[in-house]
Amino acid sequence: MKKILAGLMIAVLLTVGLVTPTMAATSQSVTVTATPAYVAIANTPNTWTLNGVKGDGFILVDTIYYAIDATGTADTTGPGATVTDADCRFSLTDTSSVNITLKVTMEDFAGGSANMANSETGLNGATSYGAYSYYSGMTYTAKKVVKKVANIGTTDVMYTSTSPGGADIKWAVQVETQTDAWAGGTASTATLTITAAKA
Amino acid sequence: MDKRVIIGLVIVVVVGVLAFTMLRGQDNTPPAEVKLSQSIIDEAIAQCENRTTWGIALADVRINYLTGVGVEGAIVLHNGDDAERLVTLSYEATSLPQLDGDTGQYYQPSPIQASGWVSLDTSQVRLERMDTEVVKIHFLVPKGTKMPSRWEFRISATGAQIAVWEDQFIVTTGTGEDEVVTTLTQPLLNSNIVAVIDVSSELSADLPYIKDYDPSNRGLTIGGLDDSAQRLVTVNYEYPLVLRIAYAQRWLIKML
Repeated sequence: MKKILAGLMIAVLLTVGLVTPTMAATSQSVTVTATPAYVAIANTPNTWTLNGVKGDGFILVDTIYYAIDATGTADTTGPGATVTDADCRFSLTDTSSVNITLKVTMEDFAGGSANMANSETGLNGATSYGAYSYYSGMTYTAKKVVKKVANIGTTDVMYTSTSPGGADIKWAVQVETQTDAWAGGTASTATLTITAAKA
Repeated sequence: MDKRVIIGLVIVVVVGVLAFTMLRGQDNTPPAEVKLSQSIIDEAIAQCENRTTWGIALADVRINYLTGVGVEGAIVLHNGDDAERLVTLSYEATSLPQLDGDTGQYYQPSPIQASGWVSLDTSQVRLERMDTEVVKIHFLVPKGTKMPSRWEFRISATGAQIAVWEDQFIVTTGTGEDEVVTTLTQPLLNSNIVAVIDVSSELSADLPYIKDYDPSNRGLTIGGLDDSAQRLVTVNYEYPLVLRIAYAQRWLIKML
């Protein structure tokens, strides 16, 4: 009887010993935490018509249009060496509780007869437009190529705040229209997105 | 050999096989999801109170991870704007190493298969003014998958401000025709005809209704019109403003 009991105990101990460590490692080691921090920006205005700030809203091929402020010179006049408030249509207010990065993306123009694809190089071409983003106070030549949302990375960050809520800026984009003519006169639209993330 | 020894050995083998099979079966059962604590979610919701902008809370999620274990995280969406907002949520891969500002460590780009490891309880939320919503996000990498030691993906939350537009068209139907195709000035919200608030005609013989919408050319087909007549038709509809504010919630995965 002693031998039977000893055998039973060995079987139980071996089996428990084999399995228990695996279960413990799985359930006890995986942890998930999060920063409750709030990331929020407000932006105004939320529309832009190419050549529609000072111009008539109609566009030409192979022409650069700048999203200027109402106090700017002309829709086709770009910033000087340093970007100024008058060069920038959009005002952004940062109410985040952490430092943030800002990236600008723009999709293809679609839904009309002035459709153009974003070249994602900053340069225009046949059936494609080129775009850049910049903000007031920066050196204009350091402007960032505006890509589509699917293709952005760390190097596409336009602005990084240095203190929580410290990204109150004026910013803008420029669009250089395609080199070839459009077939009709119906307006097309493209989605312009500014993305904020915890730095 | 002693009969009792043989019986003992048989029992040992039978009990051992049975116990091992039962416990191995339990080990194969997927463990319950490891969840982000409700107190952290509550703290994030509290951060949103009285905020007057569109924003997110829970800016990043950090996981110490073993493959084969499910994780449930969340994102808190808050709309403090004056206007309603349509928020679209989606998985977003990173294509380059990303610096974590808190630790100074780099996180590798998302593996190609990672989009299949992430699921959201919903991919679209319509937020009224001062609405706060929590969307749960589930993450599970198949057991045994080879992973970078540190990597990252993001959840993108893009908020389009919803506005209302009115178009008026003078349209003519020919003999036997009861519908026309018009071109909307703005893209219809979600490319869905439910975004049309109302359609009306100055002709009492018309009973206009929206039949179809083609987002490629903003073509709206209006049916229910009397034939052989000209009239003014008015359409009120919701559309998204083209400039959108988006947030990227970072998911930082550290493999154990």
